[in-house]
Amino acid sequence: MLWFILKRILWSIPTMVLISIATFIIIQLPPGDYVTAYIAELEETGESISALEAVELRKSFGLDRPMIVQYWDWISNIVFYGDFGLSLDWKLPVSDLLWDRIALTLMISTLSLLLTWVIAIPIGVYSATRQYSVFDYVFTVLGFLGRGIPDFLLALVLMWMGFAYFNFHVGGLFSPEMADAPWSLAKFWDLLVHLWVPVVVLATGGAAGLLRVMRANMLEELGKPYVETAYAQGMGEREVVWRYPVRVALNPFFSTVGWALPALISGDVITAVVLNLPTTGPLLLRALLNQDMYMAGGFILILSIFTIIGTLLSDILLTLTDPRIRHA
Amino acid sequence: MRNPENLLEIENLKVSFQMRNFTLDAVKGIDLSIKPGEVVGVVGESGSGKSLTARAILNLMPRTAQTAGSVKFKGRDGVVSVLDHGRESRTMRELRGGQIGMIFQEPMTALSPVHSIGQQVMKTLTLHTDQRKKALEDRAAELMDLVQLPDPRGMLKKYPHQLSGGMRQRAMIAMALSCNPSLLLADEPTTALDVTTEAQILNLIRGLQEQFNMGVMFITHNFGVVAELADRVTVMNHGIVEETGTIDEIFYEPKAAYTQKLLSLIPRLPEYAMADNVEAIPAQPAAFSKKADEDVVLKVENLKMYFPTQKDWRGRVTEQLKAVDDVSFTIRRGETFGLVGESGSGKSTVARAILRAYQPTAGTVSFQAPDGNFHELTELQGDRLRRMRAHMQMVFQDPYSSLNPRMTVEQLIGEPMVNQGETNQKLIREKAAALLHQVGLKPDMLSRYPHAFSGGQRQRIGIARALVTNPSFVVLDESVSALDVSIAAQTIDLLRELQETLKLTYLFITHDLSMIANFADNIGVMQKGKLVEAGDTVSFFANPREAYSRRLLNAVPIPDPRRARRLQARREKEALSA
Repeated sequence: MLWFILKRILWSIPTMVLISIATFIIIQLPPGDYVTAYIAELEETGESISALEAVELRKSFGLDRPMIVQYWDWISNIVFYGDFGLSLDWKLPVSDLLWDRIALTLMISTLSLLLTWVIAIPIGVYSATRQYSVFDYVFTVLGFLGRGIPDFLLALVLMWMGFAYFNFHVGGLFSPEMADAPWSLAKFWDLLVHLWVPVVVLATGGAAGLLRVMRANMLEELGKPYVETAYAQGMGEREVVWRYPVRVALNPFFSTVGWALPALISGDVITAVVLNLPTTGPLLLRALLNQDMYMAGGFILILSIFTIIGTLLSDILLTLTDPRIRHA
Repeated sequence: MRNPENLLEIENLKVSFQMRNFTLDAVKGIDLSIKPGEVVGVVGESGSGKSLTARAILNLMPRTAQTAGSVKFKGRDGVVSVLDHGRESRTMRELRGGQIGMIFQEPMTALSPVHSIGQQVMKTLTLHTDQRKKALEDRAAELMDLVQLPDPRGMLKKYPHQLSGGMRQRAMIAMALSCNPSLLLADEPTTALDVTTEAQILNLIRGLQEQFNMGVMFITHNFGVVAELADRVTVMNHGIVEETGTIDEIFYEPKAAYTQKLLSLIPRLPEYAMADNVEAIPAQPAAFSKKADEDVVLKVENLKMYFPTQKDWRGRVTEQLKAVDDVSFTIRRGETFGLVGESGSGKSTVARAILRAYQPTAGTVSFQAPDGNFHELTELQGDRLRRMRAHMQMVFQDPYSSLNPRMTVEQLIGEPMVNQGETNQKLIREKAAALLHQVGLKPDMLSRYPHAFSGGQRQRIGIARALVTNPSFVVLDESVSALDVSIAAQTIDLLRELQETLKLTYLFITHDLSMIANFADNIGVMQKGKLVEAGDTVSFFANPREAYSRRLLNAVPIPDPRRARRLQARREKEALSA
């Protein structure tokens, strides 16, 4: 078991190296560079710079050197000093911009994932054990509605309702007067008041999809002979259902935790933009649009590392919960 | 209770299901009783209601079931009228596992895959006793020992997937017996097992039943198993009891026409098997002595099929499974070659390697096409291989999963023709209709989908599909194993008839020795990838040479109680002298 985990961790190292190279190549791929984008921006406002100035600019950013040198500078600084370079667009260190947002993003996303599970699993189990009952149909309809309504639309509706009827300040994670204040109980409360909208919005879509998956998994497991064996041992229905089929039906959930982690960070850009959330999605979008290569590269790298960590977590969780994988 | 001696009394039990526009009567008023220490065999084909009856005893039927009649069980605290208590009631939960144990057919899926054997056995104990951790573990280990599992303490930590089918079924029995039930319900507990494992499990059940003086209701479709185990037999058919009697009455003086029919249809080992009756050994038919080489249709030489199971980091194979290991045999025109063996012996892999579903690791397979030329199948590729496939076809085991549910019968039967490049729809339809007629179905069924057919009918469609390209060689892979006795008998008759009229050569893969004894001309026995014995059917059954073949034959349940007893006595004598 320990050996298995160690082996997985060792394997993730070469994977990360390859990913970092791929990341760097991808962010270099689009024609032009930050300076081209910068010149275009200047031209739009009627200004312009000479070709010589452009060369100087490139030199000062280090954009004139061979790609492999640029790559090495970039990656060695990250690995040895935790320095993701300077955001060309914001003129700030990338790490300063990144970590704050990643922390908030992780919080929102984790909460919404937990809420997703809290909603989806019990309802899925109920729908499966009482298939074709009135409530099964009700949940089915709600599930399809939740799946069908786009997140950003739901966000708009909630914002409008909060604004029009409850006089909430909606959008963002803090009230304007709290945004730059130091952390305090009041600021924390302010955060909680704002937090529920994005969490609910993000959780609904996920829960609706997940409860269908849970229902289907459960229906399959409930028909298996070991469930009948459990009844024949003398267990009551509640115990049979939660002790046996639910555990097996949860396996697909554990195996997808790994995907959830990166999706948490990159996902739902539209919702985040609509709700004006200081999360990573909008930042990544802007970095990509402006060819802010160190910013974008830092993001993609961190996303990839989360993917690897997530997959590792999934693997470990699965081996813990399913003996068939443990012994394979 | 009518008879105070009875442990279980079922009177006029009816179980029905309300469907959308009709009522399905699954059990139509049956009577059945079991005394303490008595083994009652319940025999019937699928759909006879035998499994549902067992579930009615535990009140564990599907929730939509409607019942009438009574099921009375003499429990430790007096008689319980099972159907008067709720499915979830305390009384029923105490009976289940506590006083009535049940074992199921599928040892693979009847145990929870995510709990250890120990957890599952101890769960039953905690439900019905107040024992604490240490005592629980001791009792669980004792039970492992009782069902003769090796290393009882270590066994508790194992998970079902780490055990073989036979070991799982032992663990299942340990679970069912953990609280000393007075009644054991066994629903086809050996059907999914190999014949040698089946014999061991039957021995175990009989031993434990005598040791604890349990009443046993043993449900099976196999008359051989009943003959080995039961004191009394109840024959069920379409939800009614055809007849009940002592084992000798049922086997030697059956009254019901249905019982008589079933007994006449079940495949039996020939009289002369295991030199049981030397006078019955037939003289070799003349045709067999003439073994001219030009009659050979298929010649398999040194066939090997290895599958890599482990590779090192450079991708080099470090461990491999020798599924087929150096197998050679020949099949002559018009004959049936029976390839027998237990599961995992490699018999299906041989067939798949011959038909080139796999590329064999080594060896040669030469096949004589209808044009008289020999072709080396292992070397054919692409178009030439596809054309050769027209001459060799296969009929599969499971009539349910081997037909695509989204294709009509016409498309299913016509598909091999389409694969061979036939584009004339009219021709395909005519051919498919003719074949349907030939396999005993109506040509107007062409536009239907598989779900509209019964298992036996589907298998006929599978046979028609195999014959559509006019093959000369057909592989039958357990093609009747999933069918009920009467349907299997009809299908065998059909296969014989087709062999006769179409001059077919069969390679028949099966685990059922009784069936193949009456069908094959030659027999090959496989064990762990090797062909351990091959020869003509009569000599093989009369006097098998290899120890493994003898063990296999010895384990076949004999649907003839007197003969079973005689063989049993002889086996014991042999064991003593050995």
